[in-house]
Amino acid sequence: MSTVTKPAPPGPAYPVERSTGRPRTPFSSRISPTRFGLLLVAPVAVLLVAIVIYPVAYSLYLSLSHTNPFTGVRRFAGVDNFQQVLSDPDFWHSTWLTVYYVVCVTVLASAVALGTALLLRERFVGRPVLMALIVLPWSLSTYAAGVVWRYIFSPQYGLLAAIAQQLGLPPLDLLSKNTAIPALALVHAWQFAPLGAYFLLASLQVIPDDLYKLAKVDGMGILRRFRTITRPYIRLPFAIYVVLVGGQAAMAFDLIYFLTSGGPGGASQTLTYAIYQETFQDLSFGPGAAMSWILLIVVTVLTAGYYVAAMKPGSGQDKAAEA
Amino acid sequence: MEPEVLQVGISVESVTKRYGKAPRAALDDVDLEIRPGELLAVLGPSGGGKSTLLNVLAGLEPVNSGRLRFGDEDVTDIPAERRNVAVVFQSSMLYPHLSLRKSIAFALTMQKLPAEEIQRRIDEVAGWQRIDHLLDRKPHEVSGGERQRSAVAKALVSHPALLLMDEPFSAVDAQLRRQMRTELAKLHRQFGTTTVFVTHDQEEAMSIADRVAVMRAGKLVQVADPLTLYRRPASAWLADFVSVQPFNLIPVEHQDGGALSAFGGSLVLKPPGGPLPQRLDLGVRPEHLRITRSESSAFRILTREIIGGQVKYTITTDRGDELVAVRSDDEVLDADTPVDPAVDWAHALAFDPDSGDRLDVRFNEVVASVS
Amino acid sequence: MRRKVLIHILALIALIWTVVPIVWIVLISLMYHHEFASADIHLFPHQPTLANYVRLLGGAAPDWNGTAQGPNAYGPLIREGLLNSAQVAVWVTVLSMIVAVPAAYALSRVQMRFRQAGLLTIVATRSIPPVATTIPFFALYQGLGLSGTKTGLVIAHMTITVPLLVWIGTSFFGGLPPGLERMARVDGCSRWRAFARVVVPASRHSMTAMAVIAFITSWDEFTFALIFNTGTPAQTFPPALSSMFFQVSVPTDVASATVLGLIPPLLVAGLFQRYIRKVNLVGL
Repeated sequence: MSTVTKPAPPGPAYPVERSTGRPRTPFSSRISPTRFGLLLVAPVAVLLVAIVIYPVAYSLYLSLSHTNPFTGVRRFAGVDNFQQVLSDPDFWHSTWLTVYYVVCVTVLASAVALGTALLLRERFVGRPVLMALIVLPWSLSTYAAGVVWRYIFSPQYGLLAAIAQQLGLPPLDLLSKNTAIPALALVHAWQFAPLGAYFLLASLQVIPDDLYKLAKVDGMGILRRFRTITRPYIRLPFAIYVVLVGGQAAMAFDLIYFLTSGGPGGASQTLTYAIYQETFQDLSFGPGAAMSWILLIVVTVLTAGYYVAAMKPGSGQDKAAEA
Repeated sequence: MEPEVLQVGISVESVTKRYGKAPRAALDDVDLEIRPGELLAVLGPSGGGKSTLLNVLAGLEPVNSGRLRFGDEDVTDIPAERRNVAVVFQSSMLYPHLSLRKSIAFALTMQKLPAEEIQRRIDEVAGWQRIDHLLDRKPHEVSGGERQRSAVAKALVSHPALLLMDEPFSAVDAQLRRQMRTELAKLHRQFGTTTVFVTHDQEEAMSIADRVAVMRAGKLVQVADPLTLYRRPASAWLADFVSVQPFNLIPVEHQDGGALSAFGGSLVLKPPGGPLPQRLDLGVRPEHLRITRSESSAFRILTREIIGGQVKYTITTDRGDELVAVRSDDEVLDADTPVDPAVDWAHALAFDPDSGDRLDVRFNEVVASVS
Repeated sequence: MRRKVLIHILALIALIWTVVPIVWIVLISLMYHHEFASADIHLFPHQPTLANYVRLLGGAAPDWNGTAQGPNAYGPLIREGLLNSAQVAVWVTVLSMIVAVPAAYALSRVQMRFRQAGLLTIVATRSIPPVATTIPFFALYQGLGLSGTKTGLVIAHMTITVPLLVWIGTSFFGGLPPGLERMARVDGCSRWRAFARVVVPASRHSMTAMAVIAFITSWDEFTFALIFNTGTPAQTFPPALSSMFFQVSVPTDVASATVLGLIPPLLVAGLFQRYIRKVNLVGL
């Protein structure tokens, strides 16, 4: 093959190979894309091994050892810690409280989130304002949310107590033994419902209006419209949100710490709080680590199971297409 | 003004490219000579390998085997940044965060050219592409047509040895596309840079290219100038692919007396000329299928579509066989009119029924047949 | 019509539910303790004042009846906490960005093998709860002398922020035009320069958002800060607030300290609001 220059101007010959101001092909272009990618990922990989994988493995080791809290001497203990934890009635009490808390939070948060999303889909005066303000609880630090609600719930200076007083009702203490868990769950829901509301609203807004018009023409009532049109569209995002909130509730610590500190009388001693007490107050590493592993495994299995169920083909948005 | 241009011939020699462990190679032993200064269109359905060919020519994808030469130089192992090619990317992409001026100048700044030279070259291409007044805007602040012109300016500014265009008109509407096509042809006349233009639109390829290379399933099916491609397509698939209207492929059987029968005897054709192969499919473009009103015919008009000066008829038998014919709108026939199809033998093609390859059969005279 | 009224009532309830708790704590922080502690609790302060804030920040301000009042005893604790929190959050942000941005880029845009595996690992790491890591960290830090240091807290926070940023970053980079690097390569960039000179500048808004998220995440983190740094010179804001909250019970002071702690993240979020708006959801 030859190089032919147009006869007209004998301008400078442009090189077939372009000079990049460097003598050789740069290193990053010489290696394969995979190697280039791995080089960019390497720092994160090293870091995660050092500060996540290694600690988690170390925690497994701790859960299988006896540690003397005063001398720090460790010896292998096999599954002793797990046995000790599993035979402790306090552990089962905490497990029950955790389940109770997770259920309360999930129900409250999804109800509030769905209600808010459905409300925000309507047209009303001040909708943009509400839309903007609704993220406020979510953008608060969780510990700050704890302090904020302390000022609502406190029987001494709380807003609810004050309202009860002005209405002439008996003093109201929502953080008492029987109501502590639902009250905490309410705060948790207050904080995490906005996320769900936005998430669900995004899904609601893709439902074509024509579907509702069609349903009205067909004489469907409001509940049937929700069941046949709305539900298929929000099923999957709703499931994802429920898993997210449920998982978070199982791990909740900040709120409990500030609002009840596990009390009164252990009435809100969920697993995370129990782990905190066991490990950092009583310096009992082995059982603490064992409990944290039990919690981790249970939450992971439940979450994975829920995802599998929710993403099963034929559920979720496939049905939306048929509707 | 006459720009300074280097016209380089490109040769692709037995190039094979396979992505990972994919069962089929994206480029399967491709040989292609691109002549200095020509505008070559690479045409094919999506997944045919045309984008891979563009990436390989640009140096964006390494090849598994084979060589690439620009002029006399072997560039196989030279990466994109040193290959002196320019690409107009799909949807006329420019850097989204830079002004048009900086986008256009980017390649030159990477080459560390002096500022005055960069300025001179930008003024030059901006003048040609009529975008002088837009240089300080961002890509999203200009229209699709202006973005297209800027993308071409960006490509030309570095005086590339090879200009590659990857479906550059895919994001604009039909009318603008036609206008840009003409502009590109003019620009190529003016510049003469060796250009490879990738498209899936046969009309686009056939209208502006010096030659068209058709790719399918990683292989080059045919490389030819547009007229040859149209008149002498290598296969029935290709004939259909480069046809504007649906291509009539008629399976025929021999009858006594040199006649051919099709569709269970609904259509009997008497081709002129010598003996025909034992088995063949007859290929007739709609514009070469003439129809005339005839009460005795087995065919009647199913639909008619009026397309600027011409009418496209779909005709059918009671069995459901369909043929497409195009004729002038001097007389428009109504639906259900019985018509008799006849073949314009000078333009008829014959194909092997099994492989689909074109058979070298010439039907010499033009004879209308009667069914 | 009835429906319209109903919707407006519901909207009003939603508004009250959302803002009243926050408004309430802000209003408390603007009251004198005397007024707050008086028998009838009311929403709006009769005698609004910034005295609580002034005294927390180390100044003197007269009480409701004009009697002189010195700086709040917890002022230094809170101020130091805010300062330490800011330092930790800035370091966390800078270091997390440095490691997470290239990784997010590679996992979303480089045609590499192990991509799926890499992304899965990141997701898996994100789902490991802090409780699973606090215990080993605590044990390890005792040995390494990192307990009660800002360095230790920065490292601990990075266990949360790095996977989070990589995850968010992959979706950001995935949103760039598909051929961007190819164009940069043809224009004379090596693979690395295509990333550093084109992709990074082209996604500066998204990266601002990532930095803001890292900052806020570190600022808001409570568990690690409480366990490692309580009562040490490196104590950050959350444990400082916790000490104040549990040790004294002057609600007006605690309220103003809480509000002070909310200002920096809200300020950062507000300043860069237009960049983070689109991530709000991807973030969690």
